[in-house]
Amino acid sequence: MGYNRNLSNLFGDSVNPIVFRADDEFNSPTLNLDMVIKSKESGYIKTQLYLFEPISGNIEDRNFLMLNRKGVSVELGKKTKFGNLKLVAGGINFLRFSDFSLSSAKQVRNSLFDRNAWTAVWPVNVQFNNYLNESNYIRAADWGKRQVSGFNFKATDLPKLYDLEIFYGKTPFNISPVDNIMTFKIGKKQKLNYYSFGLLNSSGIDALINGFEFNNQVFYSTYKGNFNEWKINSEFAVSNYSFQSNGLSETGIASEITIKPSPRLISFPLFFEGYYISPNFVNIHSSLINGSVQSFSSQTSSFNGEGIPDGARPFGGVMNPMHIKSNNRFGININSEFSVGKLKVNLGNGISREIQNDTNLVSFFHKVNGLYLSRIERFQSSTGPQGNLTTFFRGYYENVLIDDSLNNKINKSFNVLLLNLKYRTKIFSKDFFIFYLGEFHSLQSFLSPIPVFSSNAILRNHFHEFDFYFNINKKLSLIGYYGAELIKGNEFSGLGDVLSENNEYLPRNGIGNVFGLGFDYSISSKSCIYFRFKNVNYNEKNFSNYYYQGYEITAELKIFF
Amino acid sequence: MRIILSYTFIFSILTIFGQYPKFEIGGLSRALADNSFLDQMDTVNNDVKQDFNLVFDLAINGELNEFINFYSELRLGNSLEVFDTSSSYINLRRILIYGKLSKNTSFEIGDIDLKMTPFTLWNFQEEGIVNENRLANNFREIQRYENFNNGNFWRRQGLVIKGNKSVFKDDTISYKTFGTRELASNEISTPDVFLYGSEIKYHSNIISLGFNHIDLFSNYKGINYDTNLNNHVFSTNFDLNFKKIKLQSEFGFSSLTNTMKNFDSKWINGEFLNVGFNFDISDNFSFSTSFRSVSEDFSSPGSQSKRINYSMAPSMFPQTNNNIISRDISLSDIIYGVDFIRSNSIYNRTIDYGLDHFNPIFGVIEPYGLSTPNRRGISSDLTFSDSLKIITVNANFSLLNDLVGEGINTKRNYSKYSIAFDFSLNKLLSLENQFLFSGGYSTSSSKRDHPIILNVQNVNLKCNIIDLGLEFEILKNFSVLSSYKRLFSNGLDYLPIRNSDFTIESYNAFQCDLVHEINSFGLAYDFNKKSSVLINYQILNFRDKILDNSFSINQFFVLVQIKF
Repeated sequence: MGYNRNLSNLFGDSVNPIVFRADDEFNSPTLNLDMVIKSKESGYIKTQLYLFEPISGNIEDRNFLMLNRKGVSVELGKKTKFGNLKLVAGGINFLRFSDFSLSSAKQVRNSLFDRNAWTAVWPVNVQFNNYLNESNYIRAADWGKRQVSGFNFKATDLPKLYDLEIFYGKTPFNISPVDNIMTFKIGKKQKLNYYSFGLLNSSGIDALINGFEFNNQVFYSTYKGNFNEWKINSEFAVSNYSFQSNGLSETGIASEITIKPSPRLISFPLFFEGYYISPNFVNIHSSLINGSVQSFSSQTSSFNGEGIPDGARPFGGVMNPMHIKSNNRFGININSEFSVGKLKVNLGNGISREIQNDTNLVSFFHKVNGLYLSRIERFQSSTGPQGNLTTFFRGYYENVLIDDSLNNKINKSFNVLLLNLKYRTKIFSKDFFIFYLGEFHSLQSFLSPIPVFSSNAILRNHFHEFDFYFNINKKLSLIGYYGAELIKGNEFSGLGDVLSENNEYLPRNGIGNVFGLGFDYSISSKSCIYFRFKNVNYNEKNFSNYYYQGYEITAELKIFF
Repeated sequence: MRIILSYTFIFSILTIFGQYPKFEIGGLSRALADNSFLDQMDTVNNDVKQDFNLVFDLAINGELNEFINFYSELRLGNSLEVFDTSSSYINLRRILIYGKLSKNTSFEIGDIDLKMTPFTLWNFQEEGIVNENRLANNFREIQRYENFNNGNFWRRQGLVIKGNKSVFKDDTISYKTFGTRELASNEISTPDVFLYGSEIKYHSNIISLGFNHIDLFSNYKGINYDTNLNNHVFSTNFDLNFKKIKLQSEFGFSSLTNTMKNFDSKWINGEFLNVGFNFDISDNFSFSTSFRSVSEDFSSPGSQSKRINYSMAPSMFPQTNNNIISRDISLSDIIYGVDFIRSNSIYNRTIDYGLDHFNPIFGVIEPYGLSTPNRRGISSDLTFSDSLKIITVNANFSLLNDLVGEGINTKRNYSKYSIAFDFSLNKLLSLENQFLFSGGYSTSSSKRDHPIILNVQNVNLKCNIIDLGLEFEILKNFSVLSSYKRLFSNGLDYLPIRNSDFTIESYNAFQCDLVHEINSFGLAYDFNKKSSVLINYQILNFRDKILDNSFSINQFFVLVQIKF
């Protein structure tokens, strides 16, 4: 991979504007070798070798051969008269038990323009067709799953259609010197229904010397099945956490249900999702954002100085996308997929409200500009000219403090509207795809059926992304991209420090624009050249120096074998 | 760099011979989670420990051409504590080039395994074993594998050439010579140290006669010191085989010298003799006895070096009960203190001059194995099992004394009695699943009375070890395991302190009154003969009345093993 970036202005600074690299600033290997060694008698061992050559001159020896992210795993399996047994030890592996126990969020709607290290190689056109036909196709091995290291035992096809799964080990959020997860789940199939019950226990000691114990337990049960042609998917969980160091102990509940009504009742494809997650329900190993339990936030002092990596999960009131839920929140999501002629429409609307107002801190993601800035300010917190930006892997979010004069009187309401349009046509008998992805967020003090588009909203974020794909021939596609993000706040979201023409300080009003061009060239079905150019700028005109501009170019030869 | 050199060598060979090689691969992988908790008594030292590791050793055996083979073990490992690539590593665990120089002569270069006789080059097993069951054996096996303790072999780096040839019908002359580098010079203050050895043996159906020589020598002249150290051991072994009775003997001497340019300093000579016989009374009943005499100056680094480096601190909770001084290495550290970082291991891989430290709580009768200096006496061993192998018993004893008195003319008397048994209840009760009860007891002592006029306490040190184990296969391939191990030692002895020329210069009074216990419980499931998972919980109790130091450690292990 070759990567070139020109950053002509970063928050008013133009130092080190041009960067050349042989990776994308993140974990992109020169060679990533997945090895599986199988033995009929023993089992098999999986490992992933990683070779990175920075192409920085051949003056000295360098050892860039190492084990990659997946490390080493061993897997044992056996069929017995009681059922099928499987044991996986090692890591990093990816596991999903349920939404409220062990999982990560399933991000389903994003632009295909940006490349990443783990995406598979398809012949040109295939990925676009997949995206056109289905939004929920699995993009990577960790889709919806949590990174884990440890021991995973699975027993399936047990008598009376029971199954059992146990995990003992760690996730990246077990941060103390002694800190583990033990979770198990017992499931049972009954006709078209599946029930499960489980327990997750994440506990440890916060120091090697005279440490205090802490504990986070989650009891959970799930149901998935058909009820008179109504498709139902639900989960109910109770969590408890306790810290010996300060005697804190709290209990919370979480519940969610997704219903697809019987086609006999509603012929239109509609999915209703309702959820209630109490303020004290917390499980940082799940897909939930912890917005309300301070002890498990990145700023916590509960773990004797160890900080929980917040990653993409901010604390406080989060203007979260539809696929991510937060605690201290109840809400409804409605989703639908339908076609109007050749146009495929994916429409979602989410309404949620905080249960108790315990902070004036809110945050939102920069969906369009996030990747570019996250490569520059890598894994930083409190960065940016106002010290309110946090960058994580391939993104960043911004913290905002709502004026206490309003915040003390309200319960915050959140809206998100998502519109995904997908269209395929022919130009000169060649496939031409246009994808539009729009997300409209608002945060306000009152309930609203759809996002508030006026200044009654404390914060509004609008993201527009257009992907264009023109399939020139079997080997070559041209790619175009345009993205824009509009961030607007009213006077309660905090005033800037730049005087306007009217000699007054105004609330945030940021505009980001991203323009991209590129091509995909297939050498074979499993080897492809990807070229991307992206020009990026962001300007928050009411806050001093909150401005950046530049471009990045990636050229990638990717070969799967 | 070694990896690159190795593969460069392979491809050079391929280029020269222009043949495609044959490769076989095999491997071993272990995932081990270890959580240990010290009791609440300590407030200043670490009281919890967690390790979570997975290693995968990929063995590659290549037949490069008709004469040359290649063997290597690549270790891929990662700590499962950390979620990025920084915790993973790839090491070369072993590299070996081997093959044939001629029809009767073969060679090995690289990481070679060497042993000769128990008095010349021999890796004696670690202390504390009587009859352990599977719970401890799993970890013993890991420790030995991790630290290259393959039987009584020492893993060294160097070259060995060996061969054999028949003289008459049904006889063989075999020979072996090797050279290894024990320590690399830093060209300033540390000299190169080498080990050289050779043996030649005539072997027929009745008679066996061998000559052995080994020399540990250093090249101080390489760093401009006018001296060179040599530690020679010469021995002869002579065996006679009369069907059920085998007579065995070995005798020889050692010479430790400091050679200077113009004259040789005084050579310090020691000698030894070992004679005995084995009597196979029946297929299930055998008896052996031997007499040995090892002089006080007998110095044989190759056979006296210990597997455990007792001068190191244990890796698990080295300080307890608010002490700032490290505790000594004990049973649980030797068995369960697995450390995948080689330099952190308490296991010794060095052969060096002088006698290594040892922990007298395991007994002082033979801390350096058969070649322990200043010992004379008899040892016997008896093994019995019934025809159905329902019960297997092994008993042995040793009665030794000092060859010369240490400090005074009076000699110490040493004794050791040990019995071990395996009782297969499943065979007795005609059960299909394994049901094994095992146990063992070992007691050793050293005694010496002193004249009252000396006003020095008598030597009287007793060391006892009990092993009990139960293994019950409650479902097919699924077993419940339990074991109990107890070490209890008390008494007083005076341990010699030797200087650099091996002579005793003073004594350390050692006194103890302690109990170390391991109560262990586990569940094991065998996926097949080569793959298993073990969950193990145990409580370690330490009580030391002399130091007024008592503490407990709770340990929880999960171990997954796969071999192929």
